[in-house]
Amino acid sequence: MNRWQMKPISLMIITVLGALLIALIEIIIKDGSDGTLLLTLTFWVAVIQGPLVVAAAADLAQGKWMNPIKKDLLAFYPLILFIAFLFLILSFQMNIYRWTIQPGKWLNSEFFIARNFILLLLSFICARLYAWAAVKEAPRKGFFTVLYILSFIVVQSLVAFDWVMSLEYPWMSTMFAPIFFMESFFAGLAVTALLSVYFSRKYPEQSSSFTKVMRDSAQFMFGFALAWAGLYYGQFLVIWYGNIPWETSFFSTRLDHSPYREMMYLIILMLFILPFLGLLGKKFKTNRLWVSVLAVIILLGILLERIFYILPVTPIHFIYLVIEFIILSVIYLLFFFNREQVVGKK
Amino acid sequence: MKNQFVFEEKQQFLEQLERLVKEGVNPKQITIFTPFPVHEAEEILRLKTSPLRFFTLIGALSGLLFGFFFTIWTSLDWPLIRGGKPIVALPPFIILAFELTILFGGVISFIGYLLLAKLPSIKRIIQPAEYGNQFVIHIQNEGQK
Repeated sequence: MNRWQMKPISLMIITVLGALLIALIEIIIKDGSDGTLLLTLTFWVAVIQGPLVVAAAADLAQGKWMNPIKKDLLAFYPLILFIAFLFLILSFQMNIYRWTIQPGKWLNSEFFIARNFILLLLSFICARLYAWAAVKEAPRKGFFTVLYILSFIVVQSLVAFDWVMSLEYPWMSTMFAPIFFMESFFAGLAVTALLSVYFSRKYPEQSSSFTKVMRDSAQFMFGFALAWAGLYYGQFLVIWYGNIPWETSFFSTRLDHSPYREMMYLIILMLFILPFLGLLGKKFKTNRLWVSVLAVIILLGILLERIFYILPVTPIHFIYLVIEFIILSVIYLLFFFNREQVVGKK
Repeated sequence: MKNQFVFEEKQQFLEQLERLVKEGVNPKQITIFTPFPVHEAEEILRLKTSPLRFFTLIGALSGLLFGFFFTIWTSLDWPLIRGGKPIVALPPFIILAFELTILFGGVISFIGYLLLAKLPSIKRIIQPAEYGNQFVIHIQNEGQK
C-alpha cells in the first residue's frame, strides 16, 4: 500500500484542515497582501478543472488515445468543491476590486460571491456526474460530458471576467475568457503528460501504452502552444490597432515597466516558444524527461501569467503564497494517490 | 516464401511485419497497404527518413523572410501613415509573415513530394489491387519491380 493512500475520512479531514489553514492565513494572519488568495485560486482552478476537461473532450471526440489514463484524470473532481469553499474566503478581501467603491448591478460584492460560488458548486455536480458516468460507462455519459464541458467554460469565463479582469475595471477584453479556458485545457494536458510519465516509470510492463499517451499529450501541448500564441496575439493586435487609451492601459501599465515587461517575454517563452520548438521533433515527444520538463514549464508559465495579471493591481505575499501552494499541492497529490477511492477501482 | 499476407486486424499485421523483418527480409522489398496511417509499421521497417522535411523547412523559412521583406519594402517604397502607426509597424506584419510561412512551407512541401515520389505518373497513381479495410504486406521478389 502506498504511503500516500488513506481512508476517505482521513482524506476529508486533511482537506478540511487545509482549507481551514488557508482561511486562517487569509482572514487572520494576512497583512494587506490580498492578491495571494486570488492568485492561488486562479491558478489551481485551472489545474483542477483542466485534467477533467481533457478527459471529457477526449470522451466526447471518442478519442481512445487517453483511455489508459482517463480514470486517473477524473480523480481531481472533488477539488472543484474545495475551490468553491476557498472562494468564499475572498468575500473578506473584496477591497482588492476597485468597483466595490461604486458597485453596479453585475459588479457588487454579494452577487459576485454568490454567482461564482453557485457556479463552482454546479460545476462540481456536473463533474461528479460525468466522473460517475465515465467510470460506469453509463448510457447518458455523453450528456454528462457535454454538461461538464459547458460548466467548465462558464466557470473559466467568470474566472477570467469576474475574478481577474474586473481587477482592472473598467478595462475589458472579450478575448480574456477564451484565453483562460484554453489555458486550463493546456494545464490539463501538461498534467496528463506528467501522469503518463509517472505511470510509464511505475508500470514498466505497460510502458508502451503510457508512452503513447505521453506522446499524444506532447503533440496536443505543441498544438495548444500555437493556439495560445494565436489567441494572445489576437487580443494584443486588436488593442494595438485601436489604440484607445482606456483599452491600452492594461498593456501600457505592464509593458512599459520593469519587471512586468520581462515577465511578459518570459511568459511568451514558456507558453509558446519553448513548447513549440521543444515539441516540434518526433523524438522529443517520446523523451520522458524532456516532456516532463516542458509540462512543468507550461504550468509555471500559466502561474507566471496569473501573477502578471494580479501583481500590478494588488500585492502578493510570497511566503503565504508558497504555504498555500504547498497545501494545495499536497491535497492535489493525495486525491491522485487515492483515486481508486475517489472514482472507483479500474 | 509466400509473398503476400492479408489481415483484418492491425495487431496481427504488425506482428507478421515484425516477424518478417526479424527473419531477415529486406525492408526495401516490403510494400504495405493499410486503410489508415500506421506509424508502428514505419518504426518496424526502420525506413530512412524522407528528405521531404527539408523542403518544408526551406519553404517555411523563405516564406517568413519574404513576408517580412515584402511588407517592409512596400511600406517604405510608398510610405503612408495608417492610423497614426509607424511606417514600419511590425505587429501586423507578423501576421503576413506567419501566413506566408505556412503558404510557402505547404506549397514547397507539395512540390518536394511530387519530385521525391516522381509524380505525376499514371503508373504510380493507379494501384491495380483494392484492399478496402484490410492490412496487407506484399514482398517483392529480387529483380521484381
